[in-house]
Amino acid sequence: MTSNLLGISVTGLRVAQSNLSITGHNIANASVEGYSRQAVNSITNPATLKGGGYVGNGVNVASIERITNGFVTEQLRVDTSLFNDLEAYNENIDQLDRLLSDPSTGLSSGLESFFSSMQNGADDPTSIPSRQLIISESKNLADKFNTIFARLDVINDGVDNFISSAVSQINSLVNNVAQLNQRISDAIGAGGGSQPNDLLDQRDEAIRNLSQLVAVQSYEQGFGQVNVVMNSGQNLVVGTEARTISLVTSDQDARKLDVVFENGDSNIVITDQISGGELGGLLRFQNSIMDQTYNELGRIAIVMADTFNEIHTQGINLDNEFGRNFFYDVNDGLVSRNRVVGNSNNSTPNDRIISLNIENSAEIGADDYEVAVESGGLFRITNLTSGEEVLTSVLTGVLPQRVEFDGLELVFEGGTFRAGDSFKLLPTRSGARDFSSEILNASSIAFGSPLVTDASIGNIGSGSINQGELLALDDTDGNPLPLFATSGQMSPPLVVQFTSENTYEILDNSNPGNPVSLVPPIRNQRYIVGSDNLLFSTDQGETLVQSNGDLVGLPAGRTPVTGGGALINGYPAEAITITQTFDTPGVAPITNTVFSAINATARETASLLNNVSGVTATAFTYAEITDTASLSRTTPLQISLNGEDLIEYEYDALSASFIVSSTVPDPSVSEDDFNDYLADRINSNAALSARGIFALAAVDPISGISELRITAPEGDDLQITLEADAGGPSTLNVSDGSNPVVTLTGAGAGNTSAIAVGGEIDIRLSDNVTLGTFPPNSLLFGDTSSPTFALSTYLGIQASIQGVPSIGDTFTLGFNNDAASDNRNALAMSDLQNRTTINGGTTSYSDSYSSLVETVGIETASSRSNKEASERVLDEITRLRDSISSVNLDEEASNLIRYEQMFSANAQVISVARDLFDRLINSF
Amino acid sequence: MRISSTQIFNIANNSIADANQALIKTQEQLSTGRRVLTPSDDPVATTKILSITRELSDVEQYQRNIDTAKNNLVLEETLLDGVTNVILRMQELAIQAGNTATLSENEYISLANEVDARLDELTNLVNSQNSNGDYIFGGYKSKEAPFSGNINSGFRYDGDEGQKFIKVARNTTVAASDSGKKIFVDIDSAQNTFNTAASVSNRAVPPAIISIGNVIDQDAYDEFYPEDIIITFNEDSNIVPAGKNFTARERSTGRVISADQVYSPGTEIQLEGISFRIGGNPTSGIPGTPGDQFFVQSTKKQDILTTVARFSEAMKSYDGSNDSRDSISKIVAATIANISNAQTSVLETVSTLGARYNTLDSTEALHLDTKLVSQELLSLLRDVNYSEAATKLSAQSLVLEAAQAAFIRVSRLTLFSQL
Repeated sequence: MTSNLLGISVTGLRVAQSNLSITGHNIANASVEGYSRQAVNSITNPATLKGGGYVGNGVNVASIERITNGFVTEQLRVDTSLFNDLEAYNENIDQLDRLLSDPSTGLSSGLESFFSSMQNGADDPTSIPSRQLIISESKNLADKFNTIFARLDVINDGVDNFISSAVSQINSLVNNVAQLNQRISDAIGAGGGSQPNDLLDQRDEAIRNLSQLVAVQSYEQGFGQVNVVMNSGQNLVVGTEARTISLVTSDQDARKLDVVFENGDSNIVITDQISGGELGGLLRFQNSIMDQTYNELGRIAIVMADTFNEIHTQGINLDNEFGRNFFYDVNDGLVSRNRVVGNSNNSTPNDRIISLNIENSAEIGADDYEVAVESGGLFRITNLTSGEEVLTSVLTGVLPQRVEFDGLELVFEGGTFRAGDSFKLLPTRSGARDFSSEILNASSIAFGSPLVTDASIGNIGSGSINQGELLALDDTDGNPLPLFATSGQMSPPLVVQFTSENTYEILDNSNPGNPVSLVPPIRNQRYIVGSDNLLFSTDQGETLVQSNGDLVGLPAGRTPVTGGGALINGYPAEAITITQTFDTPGVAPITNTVFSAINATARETASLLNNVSGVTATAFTYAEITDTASLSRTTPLQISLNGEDLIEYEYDALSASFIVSSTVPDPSVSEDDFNDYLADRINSNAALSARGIFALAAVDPISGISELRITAPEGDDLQITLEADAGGPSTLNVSDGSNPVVTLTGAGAGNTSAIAVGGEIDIRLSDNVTLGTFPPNSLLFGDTSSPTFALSTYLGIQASIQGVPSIGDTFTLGFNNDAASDNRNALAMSDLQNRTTINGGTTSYSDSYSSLVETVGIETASSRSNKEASERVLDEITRLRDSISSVNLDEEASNLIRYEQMFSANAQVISVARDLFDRLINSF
Repeated sequence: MRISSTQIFNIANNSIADANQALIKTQEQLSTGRRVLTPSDDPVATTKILSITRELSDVEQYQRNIDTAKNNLVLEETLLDGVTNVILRMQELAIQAGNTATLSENEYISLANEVDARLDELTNLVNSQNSNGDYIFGGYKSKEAPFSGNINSGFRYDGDEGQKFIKVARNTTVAASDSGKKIFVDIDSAQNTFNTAASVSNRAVPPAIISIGNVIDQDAYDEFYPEDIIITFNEDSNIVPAGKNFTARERSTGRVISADQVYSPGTEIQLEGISFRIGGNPTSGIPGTPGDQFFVQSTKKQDILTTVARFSEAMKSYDGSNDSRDSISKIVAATIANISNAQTSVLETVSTLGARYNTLDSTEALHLDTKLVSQELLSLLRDVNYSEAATKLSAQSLVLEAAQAAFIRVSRLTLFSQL
């Protein structure tokens, strides 16, 4: 009986002791992260049947369990991953946000002060100090670009460091979990199924720590072990086995790191699949906003350098030389090659040279691309941001091969390209690093325009010419245009000469004493009073076809028509085919065929041609009358032009007949006077003037022979008829100015000798328009296969004339020497500040920068609020976990008292048992 | 709900940290005076702030440009005032000189002396330089004096038609200079006259020169006008004995005016009522290639210096004869007309200067308005509202103090202290 009571009290003591020690354990671990409070589960011992009933046998410790909730633990991990992802992202983007907006590091202030200095320079173009200021401000601007780039690199390197430390932490935690798995299953085995609470806590805490770094999930595997798997599906822990992830240099881009999952011999790149945790946030930051910032900033640098250089190199400096590059050359060989990164898995030998040029900076985007070579030399270029394929083509095997896309030009320069080779194209990545100011001294800043125009002081009309502008120095293929190809001069200088009130020609003025035709000529141009008359073609691809055929004008072999009859120009009927092609692939060319009628005037054929889109045809006819000295100033002398009689007759009372008017000079005395008379008659004839026909009496500059020059500016045939004495050798010669003369001979009264001179046609063909004829060797236009058949008319300059010029007025265009005060190019450079040059011509430099700042700002703000939200969620779940599992010291204190009392009570029972025992002993 | 001891401390930590953070932010806003400290504080406002800041900086630069333009215009106007004064005096002198009935040779000489002195003054005025040493009436060619010559040789304009523009607003430029050609050369003349020039393709080294020349027989020249003359040096063998010789032709028709004239350097050449001299050793022609060429370009315009110089010349050559009295009357009449044309030209320029000045003033006023509005907007977007921020600051410090006090209270409540 006593022993039973003693036994029962001892069990109570034991349970009280257990409870006390667990309470102590709880108090001692109150501040340990991840510790779950423990509690003792006691159960009553089975009772013993004794006589009247079951007598209890005290109490026993059934188990010690930790108070925890699996769902909450799992949720805590998820929220931890999310929060740490957002926090890592936010911490880094915050740096970007400050960097881009800081007045001392941001680009805005640099752009502002640079353009201010440029305007100062334009205000006072001869001032050396203000030019010096431009140089120092341009260096400051370059510093800004470079500094931002360097700071971006610092941030990026910092992120790289974080990533590598995260990866090593992950590996050590993963090991930790695997070891704990081992120990836990051992402990469970040794404890006969008892849960090793403290080890379980440690493992939960290790997995929680892991979820701070990367999102993971865990599941029970049996024997108390858990497996840990990444969201991307890779098992990090399988039972007691730990797997490793590591960082390697990316195959695609040696400047980047890839996270790989080590899977035996083969490594799997999982960079793109990693999500959550610090690692997920860092990778997301690096591959989204960081790349975007590098690229956008680089694009501003590239476009600025390119557009500035373009304008600066079109200006002239104080030394009368064209400006050199103001900023770095965006297509410098090394810079272009550095834009292409070869995949490290490309086939050997690694002898490929490939470069990426900026073809049209306005069109470039801020995206990266990939070129992949496939079998058969097929290659594809893919935009890595949008995933779109931008170009598919085939390697011809002929190097260098060039392809253009999105404002860029990819050049396969050399080496062997094999299937499977791939290259990453980073068009703008390093733009901000490469940006530099190339201007060395003040006088080499090109403020002036190379073109200067002048209205001759002798002009009688009120025409004026504008200052003119340079459009381009190079043709579409990048070859220098001849006009400014020679330093310090314009080759040739040009003169605009008005041949009548409404026609002009533009001539080579190298020798002002004898301006000569340009090749191809600019002649018979229409002048329209009341509008700005642009002098030159602005179409870079425009060509001119002249009527160089054998039957044009008044060719050798044509004979006069005597005694009346049809006057024809002898032009053949031909088929003229005009083909317009399009740059856009897949668009079929448009072909138009025009048939010139037999004997059609140049005017008629030109009119037909003008109906075709892309064609501007102008026709004119030129004829000369010479050698009139043999004509006698007597009846029946008559010379007519297009049916209009030129020799006046008057009634003579003496002979009661019409005789040659006394106002007609005698050609045998002075051909010049006779020609003057004919010219006056033609110029004052209403019918001829109605067709624009005019004449000038002059002397041939080479032979010195007097001549009457007749022009029909619309290309009408010029029909010249002579009626003269048959007796003497009464003749005159007609020519078209280049072919041999045709002689008209007097054949007596009523018998005429006549000839028709045909006109020429100048056909201007727009870019991508070509002209062919049937037969191919045209009698109108010459050999269509000749290399000089269609010549470019693009000179790269433009100027306009306004007002009312008079015949004979001249305007010159020449090289702008010693123009120290010319600030036209400086103004053009200043204007770049607000010109929309970026992103397909939609934003300016500073707008582009602002939008970058805004993008980063918005991203920062949203990541901050996301982070804060996830922090609240994490706080909530942490609170819930703490509320369930964490130790409350007050609770433990009360437990302490409770179990102390229980202990005392049980001790008291022992003492009662002893008393009972003593009493029994003493009774004997 | 069960509360653990960790929770009590965590709650206190978090709330104190939050309160601290908010307080620091407000403090930073107050001490910098800016509401938006980083773009993320208000990304949309940031873009506006950047563009307004840029606009303000632009406007400030435009104001500086306007100042520069105004300085240029004021200087030009001052000089043109000086020119006008000379012109007015010249008009008086010309009217005085028209008094052919009473003036003696000596009086003409003294008149001519004053005209010469005024001509010097005028020459200095039209060749004025600015503080950079640029000739302000030379167009773009501002490094060389634009007007060369003297009373004997006549005058020539070597500048160009260039005009400097200054940017005073985003899409507005204002002319800040005028070429001497426009003001002083491009002046309608009462008589037909001419300019001379050597061809740029001449090959002689040193280049042969042609003098400015003058009209000696106005009637003969008027008949020839408006033709130009080209003088071409021929092959030496054209004359016997062989030597340098030239042919003069009409430019438009190529007709010969005077063939194969023997050339001796510096002798006067007279053609169609005008005279000029060619000096130096022009290159002779060779078969197929003409020699050096010189141009006589007819014009109905005469620069103001030549007008004055011709007036002076005429008075100096007065010899009291009836012929010279007639000739001086004609010259005086022409001079009065030309000077008045010159005056018109100068006054026209002065009035355009005034117009430009007005444009500058109104543009400046517009800039000032823009600046004011922009600054207000900028402050609205960027600057902190002090009263609001101060209130916020005290509220936030109250929160912080409360959090701290509450924590101290709560943390004292522990059962262990009772054991």
